[in-house]
This record gives sequence, C-alpha cells and structure tokens, in this order.
Amino acid sequence: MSDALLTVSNLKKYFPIRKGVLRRTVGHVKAVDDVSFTVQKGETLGIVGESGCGKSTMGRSILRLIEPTGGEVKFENTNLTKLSKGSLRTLRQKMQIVFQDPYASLNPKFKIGTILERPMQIHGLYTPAERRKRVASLLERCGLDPSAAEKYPNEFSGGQRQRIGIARALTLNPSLIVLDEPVSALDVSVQSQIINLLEDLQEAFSLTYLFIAHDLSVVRHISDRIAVMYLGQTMELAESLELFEAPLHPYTQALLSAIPVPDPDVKRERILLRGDLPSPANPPAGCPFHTRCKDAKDICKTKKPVWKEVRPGHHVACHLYS
Amino acid sequence: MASYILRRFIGALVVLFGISVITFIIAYAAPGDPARLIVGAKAPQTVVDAVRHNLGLDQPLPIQYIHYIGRLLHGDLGFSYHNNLPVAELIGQRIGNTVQLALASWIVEVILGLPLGIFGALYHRRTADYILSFLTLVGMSMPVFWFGMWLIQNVAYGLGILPLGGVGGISHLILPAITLGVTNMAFYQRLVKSSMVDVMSQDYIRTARANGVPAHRVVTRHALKNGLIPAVTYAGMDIAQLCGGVVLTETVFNYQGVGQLAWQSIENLDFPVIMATVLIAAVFVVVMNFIVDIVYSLIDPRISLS
Amino acid sequence: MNNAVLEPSLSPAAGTAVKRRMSFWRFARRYPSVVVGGLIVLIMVLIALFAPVLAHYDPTRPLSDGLSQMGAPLPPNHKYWLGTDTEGRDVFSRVLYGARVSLEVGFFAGLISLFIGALLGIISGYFGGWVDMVIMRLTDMVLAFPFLLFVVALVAVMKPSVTNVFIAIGVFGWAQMARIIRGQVLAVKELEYVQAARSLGASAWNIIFKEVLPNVITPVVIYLTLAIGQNILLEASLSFLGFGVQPPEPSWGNMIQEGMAYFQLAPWLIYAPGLMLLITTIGFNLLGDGLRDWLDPKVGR
Repeated sequence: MSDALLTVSNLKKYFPIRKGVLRRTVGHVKAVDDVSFTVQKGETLGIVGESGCGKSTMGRSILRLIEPTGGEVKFENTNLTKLSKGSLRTLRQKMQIVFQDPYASLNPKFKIGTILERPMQIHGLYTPAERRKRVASLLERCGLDPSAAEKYPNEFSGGQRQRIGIARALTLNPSLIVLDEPVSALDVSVQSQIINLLEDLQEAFSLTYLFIAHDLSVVRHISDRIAVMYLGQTMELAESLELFEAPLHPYTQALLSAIPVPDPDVKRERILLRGDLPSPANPPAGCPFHTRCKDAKDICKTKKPVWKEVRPGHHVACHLYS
Repeated sequence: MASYILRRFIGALVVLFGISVITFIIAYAAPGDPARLIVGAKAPQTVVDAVRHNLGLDQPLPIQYIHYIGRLLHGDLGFSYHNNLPVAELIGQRIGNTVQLALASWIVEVILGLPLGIFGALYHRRTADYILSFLTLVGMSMPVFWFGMWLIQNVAYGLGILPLGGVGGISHLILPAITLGVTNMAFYQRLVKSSMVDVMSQDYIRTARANGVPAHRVVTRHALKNGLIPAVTYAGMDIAQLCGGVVLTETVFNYQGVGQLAWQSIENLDFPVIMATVLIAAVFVVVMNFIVDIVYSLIDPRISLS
Repeated sequence: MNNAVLEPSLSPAAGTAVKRRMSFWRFARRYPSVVVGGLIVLIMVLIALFAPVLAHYDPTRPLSDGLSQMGAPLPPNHKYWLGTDTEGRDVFSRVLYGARVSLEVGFFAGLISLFIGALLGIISGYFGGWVDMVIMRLTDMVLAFPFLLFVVALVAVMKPSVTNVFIAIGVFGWAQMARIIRGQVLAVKELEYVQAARSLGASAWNIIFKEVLPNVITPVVIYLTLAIGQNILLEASLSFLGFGVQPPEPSWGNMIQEGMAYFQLAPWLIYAPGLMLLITTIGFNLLGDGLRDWLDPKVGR
C-alpha cells in the first residue's frame, strides 16, 4: 500500500447553522462526517451516493476548494490541509477537477483557446507558441477539432463542452483528477462516450481518478473500487466487482436492486427505500441509515457502527457485521 | 421573526449613528467660522471668541459631538446662528408645509403612475406602450426646476389662474405638486410596469391565461397581488424621501418648507440647521426602510431566513 | 468603428445562440433607442469637444452690441442665433460651452462612482463576511442621505467649482453602483467556472479581474450610462441653486438660474439651456434603456 496517491483521514466538513440576533451557531450541517479512504496511484475510486449526501462537498474539500472543518488530506507526501495558500496554488497543478455542469464551468466571455491556455499562464508554464500547440493537441486528444480554440463555449453542445472541461483539467499534467459527476448532466448516449474518453485518457496519461456519481451503474465499469456514501459518511467500500456481486451494507443492496437489469428472465427482489433522506442538519442518532434500513436492530438506533474491514479490502460500517 | 426584527432595528440604529457622525464631521470640517458669521465681519476678535465659547465651539470635536447627540436625545436640535431661533422651532414652522407638499405630489405620482404602469404592462411592446415609455423617459429626464418654472410661466402667469408661488391653501399646492408628481411618476410608472411584466411572464400567470381566464381577471386576481409588492415598497420609500424636503421645487416656487430652509441654511453656513435638516430627512428614510423591511418579511417569511 | 460597436458581446446566459452580425438598418429598427440615444450623446460629446471652434463669441465676455438700446437682452437673430443674455453675452456660445461642463461633470462623477462602487461592490460580494456587512451598512447610510441636499452641503463646504461638483457627486453616488456590482459578483462567484479557476490555482484578484469582472460589465455599463444622465441633471440643479459652476463660467443650470427672473421678458434665456439639458438627459436615458434591451435580454421579456 505504499503507492497511495491520496490519503483522506477523518475528513470533516460542517456548515454552521446560525440563528438569533448575534448569529450564534446553533448547530451544524455535517456534509462530510469523518470520512477516510486512500486512492492508489493509477486507480479509479468511485464515490456514489444520493444527491445531498455530501459527495460533492467531499470532492471539493479534498482539493480545499472548500476549507475542510477537520481531518487530513495527504497528497503524495504533502499534507494539503496544512499547506499555505501560496504553496497550495502551486500544488493545484497536480490535482484537477472536472465539474458537473458543462454549461456553467466554462466562462462564456472567453474563447476556448483562452480558457485552455489560462491554467498554463497562471502557473507560467511554456511559451505562448508552445501553449497554443499544447491546446491544439489536447483538444484533439479529447476528440475535438483544434479549430475549436477559436470558438466560444456557447457554440458547443453539452458533451463537447464536457470534453473541453476535461481538456482544461489536463493542461497542467495533473496526476489526480476529481470528476464531480462529470456525466450526470449529459444525455445517456453521450455519457458512455465521455466515460470511454476518460478511460482512454487515464491510460495515456496514467491518471488517478476520484469519480463522483449519484448512480452506481455509471461508475460500475470505470471504477476499480467504489465507496458508498450516505449522509456525509461512508457506508461501504470495496472492489468494484465485489461490491456488485456481494454487497454487504443494506443501503448498498438497496441501491443495487434499483439498477434495471437488461435480462427480463432474471428475477430480482427490489428493495425499496422507505421514507425520505433525513435532513443532514439533524441526522438520526446511531447509524444514520437506520430510519430506512430493512434490517435495523435496536442497537442501530443508539450506537454508531464502526468502519471496519470485514473482508480483505472490503470495508463496511454496519452492525450486521460486527 | 422577533430576532429578525431586532436585527433590522439594530442595523437601523447603526445607520442612524453613522449618518449623525458623517453630518457632524462635514458640518465642522467647514472652513467658515460660525462665530464670525454670527457677530459679523467687523466685530472684534474678543467678541468672536466669547461667542465661540458660548456655543461650545472651542471644545474638541468628539466632545462637541457627544453634546450634540445628548441634546438631540432631549429633542433639542440646536440653535440657528442665522435666524436666532431654536432649530426645532424653525423646522416646526415648516415641516407642516413640506408634509403637505409631499403628500400632494405623492398622490399625483401614485394616481398617475400606478394605472399607467399597469396599462404599460398590458400593452407591453405595443404602440401604446412605446409612446408611454417615451413620455415617461422625457419625464425622467426633465429638470424639475425647469419644469416648475415652465409651469409658473405658462399656467400661473400665462393663464393667470394659480398663484405664482408661496404657501397658503390648496391653490398654492397644485403647481408644485404637479411638478414633483409628474417627474417622480415617470420613475414610478416604469417600476410598476417592469414588475408587472415580470409577474405576467411567470408560468402560473401563463397557465391561468391558457386555462381561459379572461385577461382582465388575470390581472386583477393574479398579477396585481404579486406585481404590486415592489410598487408599494417603492411608494413607501418615496413618501419618506419627499417628507425630508424637496430643495429644488420648494426653491422654485418659493415654498416655505424644510427643503428651502435647508438651502438657505447652506447659503448662510448655518450648520445646526443644515445638520438638523439632513438628519431629519435621513431619519424619515431609515425609519421607512425599517418599516418596509418588516412588512416585507411578514408578507414573505423567506426573507427573514436569508 | 461602426462594425466594432455593432458586434454584440456574447450573452452571459449560457446556451443561447451566438448573436449574428446584423446590418445597421436592421439593428436600428430593432433597437432604435440605442441608435437615437447614442446619436444624441455623440452629438453632445462633439459639441463639448469642439465648443471653442463652434462658438462664435467668447461665452464669458459681454459683447459691445449685445444689448438693445434700452439695455435689454436681444432675442434670437441672424447674428446671435439664440439671442443674448442680460449681460449682453451670446447665448449660443454659452450653451455650447455649457455642454462641456455638463458632460465633464456627468462623466467624471460617473467614473468616480464607478471606481468606488466597483471596488467596494467587488470586495463586498467576493469576500463576504464581516467586510461585506460593514460595506453594506455604509451603503445603507449613504443611500439614506438626502442626496441633493447633501451634495449641495458638501460643495458649499468645499467651495463651489466644477471639480468639487463632480467629486461631491461621485463620492456620494457610488452606493447604488456598489449594490448592483455586489449582486452581480455574488451571482457570478458561485458559478462553476469561477470554482474551476480556483481549482487551477488562480489567486483571488486574478479570478476577480479575469473571471468575475468581464461577466459583470454589462449591467455596469448600462447603469453608468443612466448615472451620467442623472449626474448631468444633478450638476444643473447644483448650479441652479448657486452651488455649482460659478458665473461668469456658463453651465446650463446657472444660465437657467440667471434667466429665471426674465422669463416673461426673454424666454430664450430659459428655453435654450433647458432644452439642451433635457435633450442630453433624454439621450443618456435612451441609450441606457436601449443598451439594457440589447445586452441584457432577460429584462422585460
């Protein structure tokens, strides 16, 4: 386990809830609550959870686009959480993010060429001529015509824009890319193209991905391992195949049962999630999932299950396995 | 909710405090020497010094400010150097006139602006709307004092039916009220129109129309209620501003109100009066702002949460 | 130059089609206020710039034949196109020079407001927190003041002059600008492309200048145009009250004030500067309105 690229330990992000005349903090929304995992060099870790479970906040706290409340993020051998703003800006070359909304993530006032050259300008890399060449080759690499550099974002479709967003993330030669629901806003037909592109690029540039999605089927074949999040906490983490074949956590089982199966002969029991997602401002005591869990026991209502490795490489936080 | 009101209240107090400090600083940063102004240019220096001491003008500025605030809280607005009268009395003589004019012009503004605004929204992007828009644009661009003089010349003098200026009864109010009302109406009409147009393009209005609700019912039942909230706010803020005095109109019509008093006091560098008039005008605005905020949050509870 | 003006900037609303270059006449039919307002403004700017060339006489010096034998001002005639005033000066020349003062004050006061308003609005909107609170309270204070009265008082204290007039107007006119810019910055700040710039390692000021500013410029230009019109009116009001431009230097406001007592006798003394003032303000208001229709399509649709 020596070639961990990213080590997240006990990461927390609480948003204060303020009330009253003095705007005193009366509580917290625990968007990310004590999350730990590692990402190996060259692998893809999928992060899955319902909307509002804190997965995007987590992605952004890891990059310190949002300041985490607590915990530690180690990238290679640097502790990101302790880094000064200046050194953080330099280190940002190594870790990039691709956003969900391809319409909002490109500045409408700039040509694509400018957008793609900007990261290199910020860090003072390359000569202007080299930058232009690099932009052209990156555009091509991402499946666009180099002439795209002369156009404005609104001349492109969502899928094309997402390719541009990916090209931008690549300009600085990063080793880690956080993909924050990169295909959720796209048509299904385009989704697979983008995922294929991401896989190609990963191989070509030996990239490491943290792939955030709200849908297990999306991350299924791109991820080496998958973590399942619920209300700011990780519920289960396992190799992709194992998670799909032998899910341990009732929440994971419920999510899996919701994926449509192409073969009509396969009969499968659908586990319906009861009730609504509880408010993250006021999460249930004990196991956060107990209010909707089909296997909830008394202990689940009072005691928070520990995060532990029940099989090699398979972590789960559930009282059923303690 | 209570905490929201309290917060707004504290906010309003902070603003009032800031206003009093700024007025005070500017009034005392003035190069003119009030003591010299009172006794005249020829008086000996010893007299000037004595007057200065009597008025407390020889004390450090912060002390002067604290005294000023202390007196303010007792309802004492100071003493006019120029008129030899308490400022409160001077303003008291005139505030009635100003409020009369404010109300009269405000009525003109709302009576014309509201229906014309709704009319403009109903005929949005049609000829009638374009003509109306151009007219209100001219109204917005009109120099108030010039328009007032034009009315004096052509209506009061030319037709000889209304007084040329001064105060006394409704006839004296008509022209100044039209002057102010018409120019303010131009802004008001546009605000009403654009907020009505906004509301009428909302989906629920479109749905109502698609469901066959007749146009006039859509307006009276659905659009007015929501479209008029900004209109009411704006009108509230306007009356507050008008009550603070209108310098130009009062000056042109020689109308003895607070605005004219303010202008004269500035000419005479009569600082206690300047400070009082500015302060009173600001208090009207801040208080009205506070009321509007509270009313708003009662109508729309989301506001107090943000 | 025309083509550069006519090529619309890209709409900030994502996903809209690119606006095509259109012919001047099509543009003029679609946005007549931009063209008419722009033309008025352009003419006034030219008048202001070339006043010394256009004016036949010295605007401040009484002319030897500028008064009738009775000592009355002369009505408009072929020599003095807009007549003469009570001192025997050429009203036409005075009106032309008056355009200089008006535009100078309108423009510079607008720039000062823009500078202060943009700085405070951006800081307030981008950094938020207690800085935002302090700035917004300050804005509330400034907006609560009776604007005209306060500017008059300020000019009176500073001694009336053209420079002091635009400083006073500028220094107190920023509040609305700050609010508008703050609102825009707040909206733009949360957009993903700003987050993207942060993730690329851009510094706060780099982001403000490169990502935020270009996207708040449209409403700022619109507001600035309207503000210049209002500043011109304000300068005229100040000069009318005797606290603006001081005689004998001509300004439309002090010309109206001087002519006030002679309205019946010499109405051209009031109409000439008054109409110039009205037309100029209409020009700026039309242009501002038109720009809003053109560049900010969500308003009024």
